[in-house]
Amino acid sequence: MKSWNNSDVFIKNLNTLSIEDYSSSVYDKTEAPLPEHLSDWLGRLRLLYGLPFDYLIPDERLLPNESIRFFYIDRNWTDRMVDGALSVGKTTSREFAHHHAVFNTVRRALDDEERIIRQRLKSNTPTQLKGNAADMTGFLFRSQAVSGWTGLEVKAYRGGKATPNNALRLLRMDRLGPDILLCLFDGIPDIVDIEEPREGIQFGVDINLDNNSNIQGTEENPSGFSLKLRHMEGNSAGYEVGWKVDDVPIDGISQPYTVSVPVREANPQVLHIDALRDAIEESLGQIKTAEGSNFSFDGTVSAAELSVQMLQFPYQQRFEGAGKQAPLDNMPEFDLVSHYKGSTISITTAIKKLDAKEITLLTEEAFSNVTPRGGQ
Amino acid sequence: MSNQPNEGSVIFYDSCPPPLKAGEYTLEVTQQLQEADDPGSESTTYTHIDKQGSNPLPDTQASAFEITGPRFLLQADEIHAVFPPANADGPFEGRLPCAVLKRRTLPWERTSGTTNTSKQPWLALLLFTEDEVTLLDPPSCTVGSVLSHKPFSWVGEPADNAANTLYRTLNNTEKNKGCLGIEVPISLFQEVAPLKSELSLLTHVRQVNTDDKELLGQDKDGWFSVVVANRMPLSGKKYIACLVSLEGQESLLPTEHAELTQPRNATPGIGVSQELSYRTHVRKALYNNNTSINVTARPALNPLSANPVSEGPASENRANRVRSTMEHASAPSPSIENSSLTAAATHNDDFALPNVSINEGITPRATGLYEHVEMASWFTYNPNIGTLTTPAPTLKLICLARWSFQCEGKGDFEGLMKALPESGGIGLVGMTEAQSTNEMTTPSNKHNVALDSGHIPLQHQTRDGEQKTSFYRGPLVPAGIQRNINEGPYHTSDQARRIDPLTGLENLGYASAFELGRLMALNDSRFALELLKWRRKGHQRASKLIQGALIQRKLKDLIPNFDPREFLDHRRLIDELLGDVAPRILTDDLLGTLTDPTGLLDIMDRLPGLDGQMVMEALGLEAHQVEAMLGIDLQSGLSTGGLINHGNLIDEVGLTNETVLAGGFENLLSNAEAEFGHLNADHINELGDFDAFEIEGPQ
Repeated sequence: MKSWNNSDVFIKNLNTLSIEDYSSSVYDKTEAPLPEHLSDWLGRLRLLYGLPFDYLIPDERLLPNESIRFFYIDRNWTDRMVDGALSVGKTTSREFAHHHAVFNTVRRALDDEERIIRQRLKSNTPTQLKGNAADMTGFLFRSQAVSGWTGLEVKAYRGGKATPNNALRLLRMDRLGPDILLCLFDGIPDIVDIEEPREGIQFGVDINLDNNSNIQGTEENPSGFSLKLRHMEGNSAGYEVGWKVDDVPIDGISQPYTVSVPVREANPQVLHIDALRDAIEESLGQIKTAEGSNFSFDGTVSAAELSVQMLQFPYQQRFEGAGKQAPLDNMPEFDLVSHYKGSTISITTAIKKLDAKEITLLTEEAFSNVTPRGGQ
Repeated sequence: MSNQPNEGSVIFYDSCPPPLKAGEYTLEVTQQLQEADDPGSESTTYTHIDKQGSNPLPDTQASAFEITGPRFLLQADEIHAVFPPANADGPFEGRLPCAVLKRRTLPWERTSGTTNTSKQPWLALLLFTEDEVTLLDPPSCTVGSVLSHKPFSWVGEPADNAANTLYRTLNNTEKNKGCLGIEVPISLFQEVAPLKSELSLLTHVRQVNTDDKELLGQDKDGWFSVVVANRMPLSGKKYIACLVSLEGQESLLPTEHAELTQPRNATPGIGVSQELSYRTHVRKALYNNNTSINVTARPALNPLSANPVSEGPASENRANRVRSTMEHASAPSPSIENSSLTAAATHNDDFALPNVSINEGITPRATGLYEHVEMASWFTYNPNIGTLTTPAPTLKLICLARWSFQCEGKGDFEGLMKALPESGGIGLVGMTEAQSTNEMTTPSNKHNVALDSGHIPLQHQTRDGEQKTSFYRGPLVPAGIQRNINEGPYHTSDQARRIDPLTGLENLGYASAFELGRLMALNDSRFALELLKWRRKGHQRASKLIQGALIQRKLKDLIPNFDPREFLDHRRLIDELLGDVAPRILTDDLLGTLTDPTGLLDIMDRLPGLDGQMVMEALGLEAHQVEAMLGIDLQSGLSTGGLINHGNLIDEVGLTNETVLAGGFENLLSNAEAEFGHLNADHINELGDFDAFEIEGPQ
């Protein structure tokens, strides 16, 4: 039986051909390299749609309860996944040749595709893409904040400032479970904001929680409820009162004044509004005494002023990191910084930093340059 | 409206009382005449008007009018919004329910005070758990039935029942009107209702910018009145928020409450039992040391035994309140039987106090409703039985609005976010050092590095059945990893397996990715189908390209001054050549094996089943049947896409079998054998070597 005796050479030459070669000679240049359904499917695959959760987080200790984990997407991993998807029905050397021929074109097409999928899902006209696909990053957030607050707003920025120009494209934002949120960004952010959904003005207090997320009272704050004081008058009315000693913010950080919210002894879920009013009056009076003419307060808290004190604006949690480009510095630091109407509280910076050499050793030497087993 | 606040800002006002409250009024009109040059004088000179000398001006005229307003019912469109939304299910701990009303004057159109000049609002938002209240609905619930409710009928009506006073002013039509209502135990009402002095603090007016469409919808003036509740929902309970009318019933409200001074304990069991225990305490605090009552309480939560909390910065008022609590604390404690009721039995108003004896001359301490209810009617001494019972005196209130919501999930958003560092932590995906040490029994530096870079060891069953440990790392990595675009494409997952030369462990991350992609593609039949279609199209294009290059090269040899650009610009020409003409040029001996990839042509004589003529004769079929069956053209012998390629690349190139177009190439093509024959020998063995057939078309 005859064989395709020149197949090696044939394949070799096929390999040098690509879809651009077709379109630049005799075929329609406007035709997309991939049919729409394929590019959409593979684009979603790139964005990890439909991936079993175990493949993302193979050990639950990687994402404990009430935690947030930032990550880079290993583009080699997603490229291999696309390879696998395109390997379906690949049996003869001709299909191999075809895959070789289209590999780079498909990769570039998907680099574009993955960036417009979210817009298409939201039925927006995809905006013009600028530049090449950047590093893809994101985070997994597992918390009751995800299950309890539908419609969280997530924004990521690069460039040190949270301005619209610095905003990174949000590639995907989905709940993988009732309390697990996955977000993917186009680029490496140095600021990530997670904001409570804006559902109009609400009244309430801040709650001090214990380890089981139950309300916990302390000696200073028996009710476990507290309020951050706001300016009542002047230009900064409505803004929280910053905490300063001798005009210098403590630890360089502006801390809000808080008052403990009194509750009824008879039922600690019922606020003691009268006593709260008195406590706010007293604290504002103290601040006025300390700040002098810089602080305006007329000495009494009325119904309107009390409601202003109890207003709860959507809370925005800001995460800041070094946002280092891969692979120059492999472990960016993400600090938790609380951001609330101009005042900022730094909370922790506890991320272990790996030696870049160790990472290089791992990713390049240890795992890359070993002769593949099997294959054709 | 003019004077709108700026966009995005809200202006708050303490109150917005109407000039006149709702109610019946009489307008009295009297006239007086005054002399123009003596404005201060009495109006006496009017004889010139009426010669008769009698009173020339009409008597004082009175006309009655009424200012109406919502009283027992509130139309749904009077309420702009409620929070938490009705029937919502969410984490509302830390949020106070509130009702936003469209009429800015509504809370002050009537008053809870006893005089019409009182500035007390008449609306309050009360929050109860589902099991604390009985909901009353029309038609059985009427205004009359609510207002005439006599909680103490078994001892006679209290002397000063505001609701009953109000009741007596209503006519029958009003009394029979259906309304929403609630029935609550009086003690509970006392516990959660705002103090008299708090009522006005919980009501305010706000003005917002009407450009804020999302907030306002179709509303026009941007003014709202807001009634805020004073009770916080607790997680895990279903609540009913009631906007109640307190018209004229100020006396129901408590006038004083002690502050909680000892830390609220977050031990398990917060919630019902703790709330109830505190409630028990309130009742107990009503009795001073003159009383000797055996009261059941849970000793562990008995606030009377609490140590006084040191006074922090507190206002004089607050200090007083704290001190008043201390008074209770320092009073000789009632003898507490350690009878420790079970939680199920401690519902405040359902349990009977066993063996209660009561002394004469009790001085009630609490204020508010208790004052007249307390001793007169709470406990009644029944000489026949000799014991006291505690029936549950209740209160009925008219609800202008009522909605329920479920409080699920704990804490508030800010608290949860701020607790992140202490709870699950903030970091990059990957195990912490401590975790990785536990994972490996004999940790080495290498392992820790691998683990910290996101690899984790997993049990892996090889295809030989061997159980071993291999590394896996998913797509989420803690460090930026260089994308290696020179790798790939991989054709099997085995190509992606890697071995760590230092530990000998395999890294199966990329191999898993490959397999996962493959399985997901196989799982989606449409994707697989589209993939095959797309690939076939690619094959066809590749073949066309190759053949086009071949033809181009041959034409170049044949035609002097042949310009391949011109040639390639004629797309139709190429299509024709490839569509039908080319196969005739590229007959089998010219292209040899390429035209016969199956190799069947050589053995056709041994395959009678593929010979159209023989099949037709043997089976007695019509020619077109055979043609359709075998995919050949009996006359020309050319394949039409069937099993046999007879000098034809049907499947490869997507050729058609149209008649050859007559034209400039006809001469060339009609004698293709002679024209191309001599080239055959040179190229027949180089068919795959397309370096010789480079495309020279436009780039």
